[in-house]
Amino acid sequence: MAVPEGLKDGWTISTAIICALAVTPVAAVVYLALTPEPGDDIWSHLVSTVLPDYIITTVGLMIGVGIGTVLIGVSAAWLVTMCRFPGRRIFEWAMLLPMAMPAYVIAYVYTDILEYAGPVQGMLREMFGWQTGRDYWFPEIRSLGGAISMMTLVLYPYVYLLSRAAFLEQSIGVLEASRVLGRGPWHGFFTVALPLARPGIVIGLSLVLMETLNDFGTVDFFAVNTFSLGIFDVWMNMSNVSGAAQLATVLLLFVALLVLSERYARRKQRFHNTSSKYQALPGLRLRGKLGLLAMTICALPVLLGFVLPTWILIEYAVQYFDPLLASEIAGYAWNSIKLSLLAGGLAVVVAIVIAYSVRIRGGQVLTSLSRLASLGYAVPGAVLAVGVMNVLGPLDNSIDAYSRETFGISTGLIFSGTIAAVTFGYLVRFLALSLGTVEAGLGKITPNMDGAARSLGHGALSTMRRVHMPLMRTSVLTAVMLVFVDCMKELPMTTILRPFNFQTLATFVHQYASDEQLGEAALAALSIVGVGILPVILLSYAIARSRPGHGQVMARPRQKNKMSKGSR
Amino acid sequence: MVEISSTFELKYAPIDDDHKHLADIVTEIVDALDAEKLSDSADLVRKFVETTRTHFQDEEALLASHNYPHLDKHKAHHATLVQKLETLQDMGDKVVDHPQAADSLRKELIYFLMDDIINEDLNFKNFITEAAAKD
Amino acid sequence: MDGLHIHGVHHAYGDTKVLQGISLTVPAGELVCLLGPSGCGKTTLLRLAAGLERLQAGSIAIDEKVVAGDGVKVLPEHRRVGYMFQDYALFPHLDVTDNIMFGLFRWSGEEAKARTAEVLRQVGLEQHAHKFPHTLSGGQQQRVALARAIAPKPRLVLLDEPFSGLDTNMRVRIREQTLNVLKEAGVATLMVTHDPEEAMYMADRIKGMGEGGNVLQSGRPTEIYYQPVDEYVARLFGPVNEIVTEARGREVKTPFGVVPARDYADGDRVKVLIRPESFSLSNAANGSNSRRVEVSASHLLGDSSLVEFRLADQLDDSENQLFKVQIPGNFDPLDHTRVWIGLAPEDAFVFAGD
Ligand SMILES: [Fe+2]
Ligand SMILES: [Fe+2]
Repeated sequence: MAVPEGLKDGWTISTAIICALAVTPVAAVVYLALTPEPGDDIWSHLVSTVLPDYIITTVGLMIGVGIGTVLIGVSAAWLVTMCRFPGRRIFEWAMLLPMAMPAYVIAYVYTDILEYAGPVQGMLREMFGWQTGRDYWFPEIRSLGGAISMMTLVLYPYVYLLSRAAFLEQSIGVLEASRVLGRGPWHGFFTVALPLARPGIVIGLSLVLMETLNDFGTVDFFAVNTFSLGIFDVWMNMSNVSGAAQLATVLLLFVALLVLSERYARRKQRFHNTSSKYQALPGLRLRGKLGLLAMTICALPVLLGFVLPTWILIEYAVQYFDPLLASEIAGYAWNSIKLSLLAGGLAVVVAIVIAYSVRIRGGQVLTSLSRLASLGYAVPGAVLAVGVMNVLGPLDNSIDAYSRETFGISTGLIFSGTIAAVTFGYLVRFLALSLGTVEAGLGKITPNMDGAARSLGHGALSTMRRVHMPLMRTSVLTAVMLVFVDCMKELPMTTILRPFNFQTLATFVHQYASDEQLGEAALAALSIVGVGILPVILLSYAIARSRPGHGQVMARPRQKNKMSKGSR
Repeated sequence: MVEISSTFELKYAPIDDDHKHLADIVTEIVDALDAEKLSDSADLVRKFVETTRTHFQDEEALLASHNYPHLDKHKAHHATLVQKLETLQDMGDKVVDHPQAADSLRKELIYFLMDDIINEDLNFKNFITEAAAKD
Repeated sequence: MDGLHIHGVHHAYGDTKVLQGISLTVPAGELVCLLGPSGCGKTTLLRLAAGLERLQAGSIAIDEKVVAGDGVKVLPEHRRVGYMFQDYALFPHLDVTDNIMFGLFRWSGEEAKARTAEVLRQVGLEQHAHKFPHTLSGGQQQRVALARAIAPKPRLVLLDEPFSGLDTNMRVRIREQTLNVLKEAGVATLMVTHDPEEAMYMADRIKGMGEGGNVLQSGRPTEIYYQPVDEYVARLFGPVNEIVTEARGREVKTPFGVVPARDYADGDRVKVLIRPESFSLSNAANGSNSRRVEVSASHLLGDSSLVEFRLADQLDDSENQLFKVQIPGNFDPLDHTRVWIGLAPEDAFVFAGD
């Protein structure tokens, strides 16, 4: 509405092009899988050899991480929303801290301290006088179980966040009704609260499992044969693109299931959330041993998932500090920052184009296109990497051929193995983040606000400048930040798509830690964690604002702008 | 002063003139009310009612002569307005003893003229100008 | 004539016609109200008048200048229209003063400040000049929206369900204040609402709209209330009692007396509609049309009571219909052993039956 009418078709066309681009990598993967080169077709070979292992391992990992994150996430969410115990206010946001920790970083740290040569086993041997590993049993960290534990520790916050929101949004009346009807609080939890929160939990769980499928660093380091690792193996070590694409396609089926269950749960969630008011929850007071137990349940994941590994990283960073290494790492950090800022900026520009075209033109088609464009968030990095490579490679070749034919100049590889390739991969994968944030921000500017500005004498551009820009600023910055942080942490796509000899913080950490040189990598790992803290702070801030009784419930007819940054 | 501004004109002189004549009577009534000559105003309202009736008949005859396709609908509309004329006459008579009713009479006359009579007549603006152009 | 002049506006969204041949005139200083059910295209008409929607057919003129239609399209920012949206659409990033100043950007600084102070005083919000919208109550937000709309001295003010977001107590107060502010501004105002009480309180002229987006009747509030042209308009003002029967000798016999039915021939099915507030209740027979009734329930509504009754001495059970009467004050059935109902024949509306 605030846009000149002549631009309207431009919006639609841009959105259509963006969506087409966002879909090509996945389309390329499926195409490759279905049309293998004759000599490359190892599908039957894969089926008879590694595929069963990949499936069992991947499913095992998903089940393990799923159970672990739901147990921790739901119980912590229940405790901080429905109970009163010492430290509850702190845990409310502190439970989110492990989000800042990439799974691969925590895996390096725990491997370092729990392996045979590490301090824990060393201490045990000293205490009990054991001589060799044969004298005692100690769990092997580099195993499926280890991978499950690592991922559970850093991924449970997704379940925590969404089930916390679900518990908070439940009409407290329902729970009180259950109390009045003579049921104890625990009965209320299992018969009322939990079933009502189920859609929220399912969404959180779906996100967790998507991240699990996406993980490359941990499974690579632990040599746990999941699909992501298998794709790399078949592609890089066996140089078989079709085989990799075929594995990737099977993985996409898993992903499709997750996306469907997430979408289904979201629909249900909308249906459930009838009251949008937060009411002060009564709170079950936990005293003495029960209070201590609650504290422990909340404290353990935070300690193990964030405090301890961070502390160890700091120790190492100090111990192994070396100015030369530090300046080298600074160079890699700069690479990471450049790349992530570029991707963040582009992702937001693209998101703004899509969000505005949906707003201005509306309609079912554009809405569906925007959904399609944001599906990349569910596609594992390894799959996208295969797709991006196989879209850009042929593109480069044809540009090169065309140029040689017409101008007699070889252009070489324009996109493949350049920053453009990595950025493209990031964009496809993280567009959903920026789009979601920008759309939410734009949603706060009701069409009537446009109308009001226009009636008050402001033209389209002035409306843009004086209403949209100030109101969108926070969302835009948030979107840039979210994409930036995820790009900083991203490993599988960066590893494959980066230019030759181009090192980022993540690839550097992975390379050194894989070579058992965690000490040297600690400073870089710590930087990644530091950057990862940013969105955690943002979420904590949102949680503090949404806390019952914090001026949230104001008379505001038909205008739900919870994030409005109006107040000074 | 009640005027027929250009957006209310049909651009067809015979009818526009009639409408202007009605507007002049309304202006006279408004002036009489403002000067608190209430019995004059009652007489003027009677004149307005009579002139309006005649106008309706003339207009219907004119439209019929051009075979206006929606004549029945417009006639029905005139019929409802004729009923309203009775109310207007009542109001005009009442004003003599109840000066406080002057304001609502003034308002009602203007709405009646502009909204009920002329705004509805604009429905055949295109028809009548085209028909006139053919003659 | 200064004011708003809309003629022959049609509008459709796809195949759905929301406005069909709307014509209306709002002289400067007057308030016209479109009364109709939700979703009958009322808001669309306001958006068309403001230029926020593209006019499909018809013409719109403000102060004798065509702003839409006949190949003309004046942009909303050049129409000088004050629009008060149903959700108020206050700018959340601006405080009350800046919201009001938003439309005064062409004014000199001094003038804008003086004007802002003036409208703030008119709506009684001087104390809240520097508060942000989300810290204000619904009634205060409504008044900020009104102040913002009238501050640039528009030629036309559009009000979309202006009081629907307010609770009942506040509504009455704000309604009165809003009317005063608008009359003081002397500006042409077009308001849409589905609330008949609001319409009758505010409007100089009411236009009753049907589901199809067409005007069914225009007139003064008393006229449209007491002389509805059809059943639909009669029902716009609330629930009515209904008696289905036949016309006989240009009349209709009802339990409450004979009602004239000039337009109906013998044997025509007719519907007699009677508003609950049209009945009168008394403790003694009062004239020949008075009927003794048995009260079956009474509900106190605050300043009035809604009493449900059936006819006494009714032999035929099937015709023993339940009627509702609304009377001022409290009515306790225990205080009244014998009750009679009366009805003035002109308060019963006769329309064609199904
Ligand atoms: Fe006429
Ligand atoms: Fe006429």
